Amino acid sequence: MMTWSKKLFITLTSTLVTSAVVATPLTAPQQTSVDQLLKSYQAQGASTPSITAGAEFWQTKGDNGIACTACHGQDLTQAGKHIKTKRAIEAMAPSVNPERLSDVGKVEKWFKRNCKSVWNRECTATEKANVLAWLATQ
Amino acid sequence: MQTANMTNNIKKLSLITLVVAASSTAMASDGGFFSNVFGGNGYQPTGQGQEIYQEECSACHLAYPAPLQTKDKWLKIMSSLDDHFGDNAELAAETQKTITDYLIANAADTNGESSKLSKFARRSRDNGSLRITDLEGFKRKHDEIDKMRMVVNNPDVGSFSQCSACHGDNAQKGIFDEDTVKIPNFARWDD
Repeated sequence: MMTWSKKLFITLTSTLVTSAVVATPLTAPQQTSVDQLLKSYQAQGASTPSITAGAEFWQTKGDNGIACTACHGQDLTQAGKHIKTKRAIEAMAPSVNPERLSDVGKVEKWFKRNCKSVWNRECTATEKANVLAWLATQ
Repeated sequence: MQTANMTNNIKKLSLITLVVAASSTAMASDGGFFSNVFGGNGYQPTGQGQEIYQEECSACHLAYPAPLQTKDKWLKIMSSLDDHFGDNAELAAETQKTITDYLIANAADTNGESSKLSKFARRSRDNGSLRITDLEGFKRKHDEIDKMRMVVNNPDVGSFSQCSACHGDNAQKGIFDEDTVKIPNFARWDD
């Protein structure tokens, strides 16, 4: 049986091949940590990651009345701004910011904090897998 | 041989210049000589944790110099990171302990006491707030600032927690002298 991480890989690869606009591929450290995280979410019972669901989740307002975009903005290739402190937040897109998604610990730390700030709870493994799969394409 | 002598002379000269400069700074300020030389403008953090503190906390706001808050307030702040002024700022247990220890060691009423900055916390009446920007001393120093115009609605500032926006890189070193203030989009701040 094919694991969903393999399925996702195939989907991503075929998207890249067939798409007219080819997204910048992840750097090796980014790819390594994304793979590791997706594997761990799968082990926690996540369903097959959906890039579309990830994109939608990013835009959805959580229980605290804000969405991820409140601080990260609409254009992930641009810097965002913390909604309260107004601190600049570097661009989230891994294609323009090589630091993004390259450190497993940081991804987990910010998922934990920010899900609680937006949703008032931790995100499920499926939600995190979806968002990560989508972010990886940005 | 001559080069070595010259280097020595230069070293001596630099030392004299340093002492003279330090003395004049001390005389111009309101604290004692030693407190100004060793902890007056800026502060010398002790113990482990300074780097981790910077990295973790300055992701959202200035990593406020530890002498700006008392030990008991730092403890309260660090033990309620799950609701950090409305945001979740939880840290891994180990990181949290390192930062807490660092802040307590350098607080206004511990090692940080020798820093000029500590007077803001030590001389402020407790108004129940854990925010450094709510300290009486902080408010007094900023009472001429039009908060809405110069801070909140200023696209390059936004909040009092962005100290560096007006105090520049000095803020991170604990230097908040009035003559180095430059409010973005406003003419030079001059009292």
